[in-house]
Amino acid sequence: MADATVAPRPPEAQWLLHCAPADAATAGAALGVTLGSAMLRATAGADWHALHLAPDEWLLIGTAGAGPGAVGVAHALVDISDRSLGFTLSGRDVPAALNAACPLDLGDTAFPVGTCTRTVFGKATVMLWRTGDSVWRIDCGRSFAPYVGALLALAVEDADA
Amino acid sequence: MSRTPFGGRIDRSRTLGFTFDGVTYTGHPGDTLASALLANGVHLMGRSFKYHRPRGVLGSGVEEPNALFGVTRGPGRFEPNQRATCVPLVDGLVVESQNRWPSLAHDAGALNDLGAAFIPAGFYYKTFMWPPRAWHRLYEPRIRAMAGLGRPTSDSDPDRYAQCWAHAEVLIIGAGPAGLAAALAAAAGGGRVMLCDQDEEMGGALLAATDETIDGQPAADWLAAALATLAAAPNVRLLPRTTAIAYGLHNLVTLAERRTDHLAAAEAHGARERQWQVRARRVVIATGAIERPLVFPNNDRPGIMLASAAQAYAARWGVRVGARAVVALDHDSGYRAAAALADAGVAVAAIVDSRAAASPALVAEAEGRGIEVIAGQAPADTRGRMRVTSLGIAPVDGDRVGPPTRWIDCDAVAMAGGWTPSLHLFSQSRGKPVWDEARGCFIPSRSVQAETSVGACAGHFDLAACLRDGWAAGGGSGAAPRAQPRADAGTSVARRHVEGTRRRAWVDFQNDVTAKDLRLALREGFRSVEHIKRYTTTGMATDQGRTSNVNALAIAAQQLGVGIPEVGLTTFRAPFTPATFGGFAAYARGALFDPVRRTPMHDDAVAAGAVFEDVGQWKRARYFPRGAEDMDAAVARECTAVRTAAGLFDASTLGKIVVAGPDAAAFLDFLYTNPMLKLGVGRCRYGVILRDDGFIYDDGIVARLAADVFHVTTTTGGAARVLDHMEDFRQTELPGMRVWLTSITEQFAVAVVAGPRARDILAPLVEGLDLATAAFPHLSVADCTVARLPARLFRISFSGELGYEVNVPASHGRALWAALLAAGTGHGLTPYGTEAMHVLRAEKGFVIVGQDTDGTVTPDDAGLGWAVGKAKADFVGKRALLRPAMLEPDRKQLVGLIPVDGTTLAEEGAQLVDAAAPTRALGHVSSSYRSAAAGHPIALALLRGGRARIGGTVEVAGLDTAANTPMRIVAPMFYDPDGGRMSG
Repeated sequence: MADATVAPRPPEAQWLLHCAPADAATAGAALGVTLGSAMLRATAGADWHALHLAPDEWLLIGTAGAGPGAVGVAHALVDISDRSLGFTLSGRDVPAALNAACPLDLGDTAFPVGTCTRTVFGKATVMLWRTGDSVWRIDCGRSFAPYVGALLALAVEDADA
Repeated sequence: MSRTPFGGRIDRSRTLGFTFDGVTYTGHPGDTLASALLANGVHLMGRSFKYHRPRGVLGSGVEEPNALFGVTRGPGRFEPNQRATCVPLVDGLVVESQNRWPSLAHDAGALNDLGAAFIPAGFYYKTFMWPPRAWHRLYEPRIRAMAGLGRPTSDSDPDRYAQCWAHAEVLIIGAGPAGLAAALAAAAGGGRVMLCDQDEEMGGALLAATDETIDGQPAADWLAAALATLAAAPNVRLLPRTTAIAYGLHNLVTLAERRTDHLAAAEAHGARERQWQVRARRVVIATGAIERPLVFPNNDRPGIMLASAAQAYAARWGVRVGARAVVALDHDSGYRAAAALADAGVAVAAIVDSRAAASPALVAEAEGRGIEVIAGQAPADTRGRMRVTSLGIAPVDGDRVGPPTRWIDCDAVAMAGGWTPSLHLFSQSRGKPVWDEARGCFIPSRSVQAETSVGACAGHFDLAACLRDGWAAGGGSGAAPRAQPRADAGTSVARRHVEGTRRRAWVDFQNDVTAKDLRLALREGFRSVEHIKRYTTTGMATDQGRTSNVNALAIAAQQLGVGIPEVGLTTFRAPFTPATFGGFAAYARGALFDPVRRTPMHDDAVAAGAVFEDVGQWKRARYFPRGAEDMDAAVARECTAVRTAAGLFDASTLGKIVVAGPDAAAFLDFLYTNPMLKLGVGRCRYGVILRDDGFIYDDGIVARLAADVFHVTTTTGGAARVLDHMEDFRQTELPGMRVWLTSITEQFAVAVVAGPRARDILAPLVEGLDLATAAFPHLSVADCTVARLPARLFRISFSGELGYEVNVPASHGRALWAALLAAGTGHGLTPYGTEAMHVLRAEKGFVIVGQDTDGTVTPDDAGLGWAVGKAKADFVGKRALLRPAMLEPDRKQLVGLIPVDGTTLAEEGAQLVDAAAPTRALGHVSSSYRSAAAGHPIALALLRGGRARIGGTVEVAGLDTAANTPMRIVAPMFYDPDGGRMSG
């Protein structure tokens, strides 16, 4: 029996922020979270986690219903709280389960805690975020959630090496 | 019984039962099907492909060409063409022989053998030429009935298959002595190490070792200790029963792990196979070598096998392959096989060494065991029908061997023809094999990827060298495991002419290719090894020529008077051994074959009895039949409801993108043909996107929410590619623009309310917005509240009626749907599907990109010239539109068609022709529907020079013998031409 459990994550606020990398520090100060840090790493502020998914793109994750305030630089800020559904995965065998359909190296060196990235899980585009040593988040477009959930269930079944 | 009283790696404490062609036999855990059959004295295991000659097992591993069976592992679990040498014995296995009728011992197909002189290589090409008509009716069906091995199963595979990706610092392929030494060294290095081996047990040649020692221990003890060390290492993953089937780019190696075939049904849980995609920083190939048979007349009788196989059956499986064996060899390794046979209690009648000067030490050792060594002679013929009974030998005279001068009685012949390194994976890694004349084999040359070939697959056939080689490749420090060095020699490769006119010497056992066939091909002028291979089919069987390729090359080289490298080597292609379809498909079957996407309101449509259609991955409601309605009736009712009252439509699948930033307007102005700079805030515009080549790529609505924020829609199918297209231009062509793109397709659920009563239904639900036309005219957008839900409301129309599109966050989709339906009670609000939507828009002449356009249609062709901003300095596709060919008046243009008889529905996709000259296609019907509003069928079509022909007629060509349908050519507009209904 693999050490991996899958549970749907609760609703949350998700806003996608784009701005020029040079303006990231200013925008981050306005939002109360450090932006412009290393690519594919998540930072945490008072209200928001900021997941640096592209050079000019941060996914802000906060409590359901929350909305960010003024940013103060040229930007795009779009509410995508309903765009995705997601699952929380826990256990030592989560990387093995994810690797059933995700080609990335999910080892501690290549994918340490705090890493986040867009990738694929089977035939779905997903966002993967390692929030703890044995805790992971996988988000997908909401219409892909039944597919991702069913594939995850099989992957967990097969993950006991 | 042929089982030795003790010895081998089988578990004699347990007995397993199985049946072969209906006869029950027993074996032990650790047996393969081949070793169990041999232990029961069964040597006749198959019939050859072409001549149906009786055949026994030749090898003991993946090289086996003869012993192919249909194997049933339980209900629905039948597989043909399984190599007996690779099938682990489990209790209850049901095995059937192949390519024989009525039975293996009495096979009618053996008549082919008597007529062999009439079916030489290439006989198909020569014989079945005449008369030409006979090919289809007679020859091809007959040949097809004869062809093929085994019977396919028609059962659905009840097993489950898994896949996974893995990353490793070192991947070692093959767990023989070289691979194990590499793994031990790499494990100590600390990185992630994967060691896979195709066999049931790890150990490779060590599993059949007799007297070898490593680091002073017997080889079997060292093997056990090494495997225990590796199993205990946290950074090492051991994958037994796992074949590396493909070596791709950037060290991506595909492994096929067989997880349950070796288990009894009750113990088999989970996926039957797992296919691994391993990305390795370094790959160590330690795939070993395969022994070559000797080519001599009638070398294919049951009981004649590779010396390494005979040794393995004795040492690993405790099976005597005969009571009295002859070992015929070109290579010193045959002496060890002879010793192993003697140790197992097989009487070795003689060692026939083709070389004049055999190694004195080896000869002395053999003679010490009482084995006669006959040097300077070679096999020249055999006797025996279902089992070899004697071997004829003759002196070697240069490159010829005459008729037998001496016959030796025997029931087994072990052939040691030297070794062929398994270069398949090295070759797949794009490395080039080179011929090594001293060792008599191809060996790997320079590595192309981060790869090292070690041990026997690199031409090192000495245990001590294998261990050193592997240890070094694994990055080992300190001393490598040590073994007694040996200097095995032997280089001869099948260069002797041995057959007479009636005596055939087999080269490719499975495909029945003889040395004579190869020489015939060469006499007929074939020179390239690739042509010789295809003409004779040598090396083209399921064993891919593992035992035949080098012998065939040697014969070709000799005949042509050139060296083996000049003849060349055929290409090794993946998979290394046959792989299951299940492993490749894995999770992509049944409900998980492809994601099935459903809209937020899907369950409401189900409850309303919707019939769905697939639109890409989406399920969309096509129509909502009531009672006994068929599609036509339901669609007509839904259309009438929209035209006379109101309809409710789920448009959630439309692509939606937020384009935002200070340069958003300029960006959209460049991406769309339409002028976008002056689009007012709160206003919408229909827009067309072209590719660079000027042809329509997508269309949709561009809505300005704020000076620097736009909400654009795309077609359902275009959602992903339009975002990619925009992102491509944003990043590569317009990197200076401060504009960003966010997909919001799935953020919103979208409900369309369309029809003359739309405002009456919607207005009571809306807060914060006046829906009166004066305040919120056609082509407006605003954020507001609908049914107490936060909403973005568009007034747009794809039906030609007054229409609103309500966007709410997707989680509120069902609440919105319910509120609208409730509000529509008493107004005749009717859910409608995609089919009615198609009819309604066609009545208005609105195109659907991908249906009425096909990638060769310009805006002007589609009647959308008005949407092209003539004054714009530039936009994507502008220059292409100025090419002369794009401006020709005779281009295919969108027109409307109405049947002259007023009733006949044109076939979508049908060609358009002139009645006077019905041979030239003038275009085709792109959309065709029955229209309740028009009172007759309508069609949209792309017609050459169409606009100039309006008022005339054209014919829709009938298929085959069906009559053509005359159509009146009209403007593509069948309803409310001045648009008063949607803008009023």
